[in-house]
Amino acid sequence: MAMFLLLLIIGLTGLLAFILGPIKVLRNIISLIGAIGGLLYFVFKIRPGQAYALNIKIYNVHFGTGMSALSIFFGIILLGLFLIFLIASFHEDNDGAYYMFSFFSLLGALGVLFAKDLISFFFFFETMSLFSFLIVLKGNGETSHRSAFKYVMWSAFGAYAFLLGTFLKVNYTHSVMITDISYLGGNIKLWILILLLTPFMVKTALMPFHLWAPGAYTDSKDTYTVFLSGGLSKIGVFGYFIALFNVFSQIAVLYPWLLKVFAYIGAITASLAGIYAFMQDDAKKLLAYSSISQLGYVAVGFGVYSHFSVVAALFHALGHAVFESLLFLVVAGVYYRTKTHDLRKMGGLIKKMPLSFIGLLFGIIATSGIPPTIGFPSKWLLYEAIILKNDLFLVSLVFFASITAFLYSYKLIHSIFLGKLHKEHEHIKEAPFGYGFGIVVLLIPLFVLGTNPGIVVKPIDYIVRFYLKPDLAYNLTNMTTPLGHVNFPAIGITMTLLFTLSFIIYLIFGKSYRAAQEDNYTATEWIDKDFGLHYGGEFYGFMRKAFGKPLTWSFEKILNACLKVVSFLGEIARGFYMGDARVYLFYIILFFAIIVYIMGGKL
Amino acid sequence: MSILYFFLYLLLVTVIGLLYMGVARKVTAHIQNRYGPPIYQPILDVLKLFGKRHTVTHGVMHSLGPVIAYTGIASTLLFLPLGNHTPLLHFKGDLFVVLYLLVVGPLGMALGAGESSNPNATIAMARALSLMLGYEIIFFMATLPVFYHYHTASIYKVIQAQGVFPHWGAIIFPISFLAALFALQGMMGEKPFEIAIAPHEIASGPMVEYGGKYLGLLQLWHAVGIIVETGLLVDIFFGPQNIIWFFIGTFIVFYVVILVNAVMPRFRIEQAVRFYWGIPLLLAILGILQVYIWR
Amino acid sequence: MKLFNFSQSRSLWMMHFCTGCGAMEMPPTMTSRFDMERFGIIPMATPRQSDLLLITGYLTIKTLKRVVRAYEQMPTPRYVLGFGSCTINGGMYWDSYNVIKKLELYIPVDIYINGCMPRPEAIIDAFLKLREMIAKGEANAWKKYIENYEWYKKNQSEVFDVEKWSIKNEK
Ligand code: SF4
Repeated sequence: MAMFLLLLIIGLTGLLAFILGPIKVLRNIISLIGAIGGLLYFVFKIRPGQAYALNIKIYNVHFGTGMSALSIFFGIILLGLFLIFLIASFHEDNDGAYYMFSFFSLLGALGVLFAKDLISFFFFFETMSLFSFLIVLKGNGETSHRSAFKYVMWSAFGAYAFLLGTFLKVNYTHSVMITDISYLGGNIKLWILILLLTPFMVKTALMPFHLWAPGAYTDSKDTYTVFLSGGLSKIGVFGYFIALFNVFSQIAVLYPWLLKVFAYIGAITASLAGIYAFMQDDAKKLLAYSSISQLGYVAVGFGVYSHFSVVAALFHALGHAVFESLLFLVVAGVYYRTKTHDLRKMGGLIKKMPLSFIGLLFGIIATSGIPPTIGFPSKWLLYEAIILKNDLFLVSLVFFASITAFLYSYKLIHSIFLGKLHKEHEHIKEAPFGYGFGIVVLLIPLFVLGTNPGIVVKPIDYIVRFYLKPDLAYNLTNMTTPLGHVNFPAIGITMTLLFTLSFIIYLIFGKSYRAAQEDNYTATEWIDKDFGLHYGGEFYGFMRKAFGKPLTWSFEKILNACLKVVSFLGEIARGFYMGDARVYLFYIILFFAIIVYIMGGKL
Repeated sequence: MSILYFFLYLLLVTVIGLLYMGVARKVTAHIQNRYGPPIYQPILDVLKLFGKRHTVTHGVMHSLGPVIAYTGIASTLLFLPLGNHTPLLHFKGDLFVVLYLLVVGPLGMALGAGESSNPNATIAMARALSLMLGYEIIFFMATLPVFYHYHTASIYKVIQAQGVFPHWGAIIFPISFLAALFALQGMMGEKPFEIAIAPHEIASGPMVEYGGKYLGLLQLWHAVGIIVETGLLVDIFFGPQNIIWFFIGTFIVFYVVILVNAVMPRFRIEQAVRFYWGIPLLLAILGILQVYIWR
Repeated sequence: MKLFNFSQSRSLWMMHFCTGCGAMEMPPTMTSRFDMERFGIIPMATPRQSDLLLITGYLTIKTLKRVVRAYEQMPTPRYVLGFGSCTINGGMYWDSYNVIKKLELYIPVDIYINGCMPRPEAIIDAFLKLREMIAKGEANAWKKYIENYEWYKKNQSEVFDVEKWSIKNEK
């Protein structure tokens, strides 16, 4: 029952927030209490193994919910991020419906985690998609309608694939429960698997299905993007796990090539999205592509399909939730002050918003996977897992993707915080409390889990061990794979120690004084204070030349070409039904002519 | 005690790196038919830089940039075995740790240079990071066959597994070694890949606003960087060496790099990246195919 | 302190800033024939990194503004080498309307080279002289600039707009 109670709390809070919409303070307090209560209730009351079955015997179909360790893992991520989103969102100008939608989307996501049968899974999944669609629709961009439409179309595409897969499964197994179907004969199980995987590939924006993501991430309200990218995309990762392990426990034996394709799709997604990311000039678009890129690693982890590659994938999903949310949150805070996402219009904010800078700094360090942050353990595990699987090209591709991370990270931090302060930003203050709170809270797991990954690896290992042969030895601070060994805090301690040393060297020598902004080496020419010295636009513009033509190719163009063909065909088809009398006359004559021709001999 | 040993070790490697820089200047001078400075010249330079009384800074990050850069490279050094000499941290230097720590330095410098609001510095960093898209991947792909062959990701184990002379990585995997040499040239930022520094074009790039002790720290960073980068190559391709031979090995590799540096003009950035995606990439792929065929 | 002075004298990085025709003599000094890198003297790209400012010849007022700016951007201790007769008394531009006659009025000079134009041998000689002075701690012209800042600014303001051109955060 605990699960239903939780869903009830979340749902009721959403409704209350809607009803209390106009009274801002009360609404905020109620939604805060609801979110905190939900989180606490989840942490203390919900345990793995709790299950509840609803026996509505329609066509002999059972509905059931249940908790697994995995659901708890993802549930905590979701509720935690939701709280962070909520606190930051109070600074924005939102109405009651906005809060209701966001609570309902959370409800849908939690429901997905609880579902034990495919029908309720589908139901909750759709709830989540629908309400997050409504929120994107309420977004602040001019293009938000278009983006929301794209988002819901892609979600619907995934959902119908899922539904089709469910029907197929029910048809063959006479059960809607999420159970193993490896024993089925023929190719049908392959189709079921692919259909079941589709919505999750859409949700994690794997490459051919990623087109909705940049638009939806950019045009949704800034704080909600934190939850959308960090939280809701995790449902896709959860779905991978369900599809690859619960529905299909022997996929590695049956379809090793499918896993390989999956891994390569993930790696290509990671690389290409990384390249697209550093060519963007909009902070949120850049982050959207970076998010797609990071989730590509998760797909690689599942595709490699060994014990610690899956551990790496789940760990990376958590890491992604932490650092990507951090980045989105900082950008949201910056937007709150500067009212722009355009990287060309910002710069030099480090002096005005130091806390946001620190948040973004460690966020990008984690995104790039530099130790001792949360981004490193998962990447390390992933590399070793791929090498153990004898795929050196895949690991090279993944490494390439991680280099692109340096590029877009630097572009982001430089264009916002470094460089020259713009004149109109001279009186800007630090982002308000809600943002700062989220930044500080997210920085804690960023370091703690980066140096003590054992905290999370233990439960993840406990989940994965059940399905795959364990070959990873670990304790709180160490990890040993068949290939190598890392002691995570040792890296952190060494770096701290050496940092102290270099800092002392820095301190004892010479004085330095602060230079004014204009006091730069400009070939000794005098420059005006307002002179545009900031290198913001066309950052990495030369890479356009390096990549040449291929950079201009995109799936969008292919789809647009398809669209043209379809609308052309549609135009012809329309001609059939909506032509004028002459056309019909022509059809009739044609019809008779054909009949005469076919029957020719006999007449 | 061990901390003292740490610092002495660091000091030693830094000084050796500075001497390498001196040799580089001397060799270049000889190629240009000059005498060149004494080989201890970089040490004097660094001393002088630290002795400067007043320098400017553009802010906290600008000051911390060189500090972070030196931190990054020094930590890499501690995780890198110098030949047979085990890394100080009893850690068996894992390849990925080293590769990721290696980018802390450039990142620190990028952040520091960025704050100066001098477009020269930022352009240089954009170039340096883009160049990474070229050489890092080549270097990674070139070293992979060795690690794969000996079935470990630990640099220390790879060294031990190679054995004496004819069993060196460089001889077993000549194609990969060649690719790695190409990558090293870019990694060390020497011509023809001196795109990020380019003194005559963007006024020495990231260093444009750095003077005095900041530049001194950056020089130290560069000095340790030389040992770490060439040392990584020697470790992976030249088998187990004692510390003397290790330094001789790094010197030989470094010598090749500076010879190329002395006679080469400079690429444009997109040419450089494209160059790496041409022949060196092909070599790296061939190297990987070689190890696949062997298995 | 002595060590710093010594290393400073052995490692002079000069600002690569050619003002007048005397700069013509620098290439042979730098390259194979005379090779000034022997003495640790190399050209640097920016004033931030340099110790030595070469005023290679006549300075028009237009250039003087830039020179002052570059000089103020250099970290201390910093040295100035006046190069050729033009920097001492105007040389052959003694009656020109837009060339300054005495460099010393605008920035402090450590050492002059006489001649029009000085041969590379003379330049090397000057470098060695400067080197000796630095090692002994005698080349202290940069302190003069800090102590008599007002005076230099006054002189400068007679020929150009100091408010606009000098760097405000100077100590
Ligand atoms: S002293 Fe002679 S060579 Fe030098 S700048 Fe004056 S005129 Fe030219």
